[in-house]
Amino acid sequence: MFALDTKYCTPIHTYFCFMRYFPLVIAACLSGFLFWALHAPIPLENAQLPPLGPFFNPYSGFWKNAEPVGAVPEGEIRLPGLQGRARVVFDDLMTPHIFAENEEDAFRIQGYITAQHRLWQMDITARQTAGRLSEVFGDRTLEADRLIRRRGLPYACERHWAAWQQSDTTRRMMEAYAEGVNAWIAQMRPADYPLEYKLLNYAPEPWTPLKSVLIIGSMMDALNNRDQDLAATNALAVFGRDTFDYLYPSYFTKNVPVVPDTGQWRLAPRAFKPAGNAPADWSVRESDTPPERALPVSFQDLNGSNNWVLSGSRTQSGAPILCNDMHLPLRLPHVWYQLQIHTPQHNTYGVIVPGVPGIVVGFNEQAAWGFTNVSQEVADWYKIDWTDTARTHYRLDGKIQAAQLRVEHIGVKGRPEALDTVRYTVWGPVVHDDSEHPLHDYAYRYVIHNAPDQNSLGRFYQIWQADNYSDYRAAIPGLGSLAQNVAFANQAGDIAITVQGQFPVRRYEQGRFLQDGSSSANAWLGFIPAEELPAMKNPSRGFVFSANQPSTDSSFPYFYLGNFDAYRGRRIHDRLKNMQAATVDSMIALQTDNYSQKPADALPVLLRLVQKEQLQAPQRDLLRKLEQWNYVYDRNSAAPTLFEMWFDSTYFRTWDELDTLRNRKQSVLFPESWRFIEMLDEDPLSVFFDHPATAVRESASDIATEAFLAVARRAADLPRDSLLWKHAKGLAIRHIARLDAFSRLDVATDGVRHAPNAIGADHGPSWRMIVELKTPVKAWGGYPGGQSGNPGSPYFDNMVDAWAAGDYYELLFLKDPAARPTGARKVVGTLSFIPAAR
Amino acid sequence: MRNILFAILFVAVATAALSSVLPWWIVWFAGLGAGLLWPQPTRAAGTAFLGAFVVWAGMALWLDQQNHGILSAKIGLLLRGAQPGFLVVMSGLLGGLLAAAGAWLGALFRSATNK
Repeated sequence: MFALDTKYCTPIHTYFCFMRYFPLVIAACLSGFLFWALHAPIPLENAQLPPLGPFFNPYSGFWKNAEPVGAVPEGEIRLPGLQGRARVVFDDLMTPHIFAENEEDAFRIQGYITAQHRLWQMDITARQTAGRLSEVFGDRTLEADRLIRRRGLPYACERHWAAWQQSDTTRRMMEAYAEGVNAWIAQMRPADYPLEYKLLNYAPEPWTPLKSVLIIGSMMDALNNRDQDLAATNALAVFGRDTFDYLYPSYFTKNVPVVPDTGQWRLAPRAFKPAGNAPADWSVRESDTPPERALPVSFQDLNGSNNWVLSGSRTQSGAPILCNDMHLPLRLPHVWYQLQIHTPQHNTYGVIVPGVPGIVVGFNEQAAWGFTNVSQEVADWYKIDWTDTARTHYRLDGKIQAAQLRVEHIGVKGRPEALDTVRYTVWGPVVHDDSEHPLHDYAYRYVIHNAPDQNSLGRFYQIWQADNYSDYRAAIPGLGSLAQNVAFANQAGDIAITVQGQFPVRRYEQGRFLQDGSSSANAWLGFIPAEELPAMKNPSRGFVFSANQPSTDSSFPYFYLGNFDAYRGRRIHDRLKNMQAATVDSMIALQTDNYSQKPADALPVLLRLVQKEQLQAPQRDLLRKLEQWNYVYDRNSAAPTLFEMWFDSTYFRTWDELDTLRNRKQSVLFPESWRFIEMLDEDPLSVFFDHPATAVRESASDIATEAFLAVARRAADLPRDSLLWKHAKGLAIRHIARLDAFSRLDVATDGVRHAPNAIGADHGPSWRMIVELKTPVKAWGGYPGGQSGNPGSPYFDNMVDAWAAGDYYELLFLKDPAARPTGARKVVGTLSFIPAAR
Repeated sequence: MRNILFAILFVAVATAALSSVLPWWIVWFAGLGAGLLWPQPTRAAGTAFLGAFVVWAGMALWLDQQNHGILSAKIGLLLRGAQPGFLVVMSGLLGGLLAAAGAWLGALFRSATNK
């Protein structure tokens, strides 16, 4: 070590000392600067680029996530807690096939493998439902965190876990899975963290069973969260009863329900009313509840799905075929993870949301099952009669009740935690605390807040070994509040469908509008008993199907409401009823059918209404394109684009009254598109086709013509190619963190949300599955993503193109881990798992 | 000349050995070590730069080749259209700079304390 010798510190010496050490000081400063500069995060489009030093270090930064192409999982893993030996075989889609000696081992390994492939997605999905995104993203997600907590999602998940952990089987399953995930996390070094952790500059935290429940909760919410109470209430206030009934009939008679009326409900009272009579005029009354814009379901991407089963009488092989495609927002990493689980109890193949143990939709060696969303409304709003301005107490049946206060602690990156108090009433939480919000004083009665039966999850998972109808019927009530149309088929030849869920028993129209929460008499009257839920087994027509259409026709004794599809189901029904000697290819053709019933309903009416004498030659050419169109949403055709533009333009020109109201903060529910088509067809002189601002009285024909001329003008201005459906629709499959670099933007696809091949702009068939119940069972499937969640893996999005093209993968369903398959799928690697000392 | 080669080799080996177990800044220490051993500031910085550049860029390039450029193309997009080759060079430059800064400091320190 050196030291300055002070006896030489004369000015000359000082100068020399300075000259001697100056470069050293400069060099030290340079090093210090480099350390600082390479250690500081850099702002980027939607995120922050992490510090350059660690990020570019090829030994631990992003380069470490560049998975070698062709690398295969091989080797032996000592897994703590494992009871027996196990093997995991990977096929060439990187689908794991887990062979374990018992269920608990299988879940432990599932946790380990899923974490290896999808850890960051699991983490962020659980955080989203827990309202913990701000711990990672900072301020910009604080409102989202607050809202999901105020909607009682973490509360609901805590209640679910409190109940489920009372069941030994469920608790052990959840814990084994969590321990498997944690075993994967424990062996990672920072260099091994998924790329998103490096980009967002945070580290994985231990997994818990509650996080698995949070992911189940995110799915329950995605499928159940819908209500139009506010917009409907305002519509009723604005229009009055007669006009309301005319514009918003609750039942579309052309729909073919999931379970038709076969006389089973004959004695029961009718719960639905037909559409009201046409009003001669309409007037706006004052309303004190200005709602949000409320477009009907036909303008939204439904979290819906298709499923159907053909009985052996309609298939070439004589074996039933079950088909399912579930429509969800399409993201990368993909929402589903494929796997097979083989234990002495069962052998099951299917998909699950990463972070949840087991398999939710799939098949076993004897049977198959598939889901579509029931789409009934299971959330209502109740006005609270507060007794104090601090809103701590409210009146119920004349008595004063205290609201339970739940204080939410929201961690925010780079800031002290935010606190938020949520008031829980007998109905549920008061969601909106902004005093300007029209639902400011309303409590949220939401079915997923109900504590489930402690055995429910375990009960549903009995479906893995279901081989007959009664096993299936016994298992599906375990779905609890996850309301699904569950289709079933087995090798014995049974086919079935059940509308499964917790559905409130409502008075006529109860829940259609906002309700008074000061009287407990306004509560739901309980839930429809499981044995009274609509169900159907082995119908003589030889098929069952569902596509988010109404569960029943209007003869069903219980009133219900919801967001139901009006087109897909009808098309599927038409195809199925004419199908004989069906094969897997005919099933593929139907799942990827791009014909839509919506233009089939609307276009002939519009073509009849349009005043052709007003059209010039180029406009007539456009019209001819539509006249010749076969209603198929082909990616390379312009007709679908022209029709969609024309229909929407006619629709919004007609409902200009409602837009005027919306601008005055009095917007109301817009009518369903099927109702609008009925009006065009049957009531073209309706007052609603009149523009209030003009002196003349317009008819549907005037509006359709005006809309067509506007579309023609726009079409003339657009580059020719942009009218092609693939460009006009344009499917974008975005990365969950919305990083374009990790997204697949502009995937060219056919289809439309109202055709069986329901591909929208960022939404669509998330898991296509076809199961032929021959011996042995054979299955095909695919999804627009890949098994790996790592953007640096060849398995990140490897199935997107096949999916977009409507191609299917034969699924590898093994009975023995040592088997060498002869079909299209190959085995590429095997991991052996052996117990390790804890 | 032999010293220069030896110094480059020293930094490269130290970088490769230490980087796989210790964080990114370890490459600075590899440079520092070289600077202390071969205290000619400019030469030390140059050799350290080369040694670390070759290892970091080489490692990045190797991983990129194995990966068929899947990830580098995406990271490039994330960085507003940077080419994969640029990312490789960027990794090398950062490693090289860090090692050079360490080596320069080490060499100056050695020459300042050795009379």
